[in-house]
Amino acid sequence: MNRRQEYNELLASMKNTPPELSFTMTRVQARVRKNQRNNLLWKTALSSFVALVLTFVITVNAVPRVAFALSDFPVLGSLVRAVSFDPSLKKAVENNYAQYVGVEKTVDNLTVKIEYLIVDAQRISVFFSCTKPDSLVLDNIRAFDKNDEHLVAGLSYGSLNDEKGELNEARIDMGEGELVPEEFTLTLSFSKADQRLEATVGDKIAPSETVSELSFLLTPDTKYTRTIETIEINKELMLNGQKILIERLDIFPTQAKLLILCDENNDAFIKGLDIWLEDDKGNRYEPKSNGITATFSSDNENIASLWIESSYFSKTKVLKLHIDGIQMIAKDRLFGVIDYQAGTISNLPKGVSVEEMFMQGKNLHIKLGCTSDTPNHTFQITSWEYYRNDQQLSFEGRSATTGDDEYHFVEMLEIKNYDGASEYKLKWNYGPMQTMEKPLAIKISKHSPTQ
Amino acid sequence: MNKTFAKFIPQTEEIKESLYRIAYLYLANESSALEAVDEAVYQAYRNIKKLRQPEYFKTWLTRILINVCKKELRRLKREKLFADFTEGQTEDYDGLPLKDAIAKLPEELRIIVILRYFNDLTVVQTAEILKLPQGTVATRQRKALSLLRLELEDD
Repeated sequence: MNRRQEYNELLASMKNTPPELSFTMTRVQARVRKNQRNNLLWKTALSSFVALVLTFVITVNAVPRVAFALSDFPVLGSLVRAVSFDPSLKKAVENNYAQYVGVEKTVDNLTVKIEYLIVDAQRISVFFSCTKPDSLVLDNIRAFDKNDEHLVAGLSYGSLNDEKGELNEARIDMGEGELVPEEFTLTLSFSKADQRLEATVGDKIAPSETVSELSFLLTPDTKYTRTIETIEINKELMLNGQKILIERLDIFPTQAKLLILCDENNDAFIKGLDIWLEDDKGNRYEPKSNGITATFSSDNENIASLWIESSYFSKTKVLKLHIDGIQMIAKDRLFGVIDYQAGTISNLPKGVSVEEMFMQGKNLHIKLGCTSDTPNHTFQITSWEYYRNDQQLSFEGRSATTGDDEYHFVEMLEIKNYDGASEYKLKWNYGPMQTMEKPLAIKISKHSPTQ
Repeated sequence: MNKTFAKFIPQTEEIKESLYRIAYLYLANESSALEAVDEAVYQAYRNIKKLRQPEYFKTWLTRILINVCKKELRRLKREKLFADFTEGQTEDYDGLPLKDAIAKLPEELRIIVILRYFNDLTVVQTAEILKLPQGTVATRQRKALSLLRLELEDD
């Protein structure tokens, strides 16, 4: 065969693309959604957080501490739109809970305006607008305390909306045990769009050069930041053979946290509970679906708190805690041993299957399939750690994709430099939600707000 | 699904196969090519607002993909996962299947062949994507075809 014939054959063969290519947009969509959820779980009780940082530089002078009625203030419609996705924030705005700031700074053609703060003891939502030239992009946002140290908090945000009149939210979730400070500085940095594009798509993700930086000194009204309603519960429950203690419910204006202690003698690790709250008017408060939704114990194995939409602004004196299901992994089924020759993994959680296992070069690729109750929803089936002959290693990367069946997704793992002579184990992170045969409803009473 | 993404999808779907062909011939590996396409599409989505001239979407996304492929190729070579051909030895190309011979070409020649002869782009379009003078594209194209012993029509 001559070269021309080879070329024609190669060209013809290129018309057949692998089936996985059809799901490119689905995978990208899942990745975009995942980033927009902004770190759903705290896996460990960390004492410090790395600020995720949006670049947005605004300098704000000290602002008055008094919160006025929102109807007196501009861009209220924009604020209402900005919180429409968050039931607790929506209620806060409806109850005049937001604090108007209204401080603007302009550098060249870049203008940022801090419009509102919604603050409680452990969370600050900063709502801001921005107009900028196309040549600039938001690089990062950072938050500092009065000593110029990074706040011990997670900072997250979505894609910048620079349309006129629209607000963006930068959310600061304080670290465990940390309270919102009386004052903090929000610093936003911008870089040139071309430079940022090259840095993004070029050889490496190089740090961008900041061309504009603005800092705002913000002083949230502490009257609101110190208010927490605590309902002591201290109720021991047996859920599907596992003992847990429901310690208390902390209700903040923007969220509620149910604190849980799992018995160390349980024969399973508890990964989640299907819970919701109900007030005496029949209003439901569902688990949080944006931002942080749960925290885990310091050993990362058992649930330690679940975050729920807040009932703070309801006038109810009595709440009912409903527990409909439990998610757990039996301790003796925590690990799955990989048998590459047989194409199997032991102790697969119910609903999980090995769809494919293959070597590519020196690396072992594993595709795990899982059914989900929620359409187009993915979650972590395995932990980041795996084990080679009991040596703990970490996956460098992983991905999950949905396909034609919106209730099914695939988690893809890669074990680098797979050594067939060693024993490899995955650590399961998932157990299916088991519906309680008899769902529980526990009546709890509100106490006076504590400070 | 937000509006930006809804508009982005059909534009990307239209050129997805072309992107895959580029990545596959560049990286000589199906799974690496799929990952490169995923990464490029994701980066493009994240930066879509920076594209000031929407009519250049294909050029822009192709450029992103090529940079992703370059980065991936360096990683593969570093981890010795990419066949370590010795580049440039004329006589070595003759004995290789065409696909392997293309993979053996120096990167700056390989990408020209991929864009011109496997994605049907003109010299002008190729020059635009690679930000090169048209003369440079034409020169490299001739050299690449000569190394491959492949006679194909010019523009």
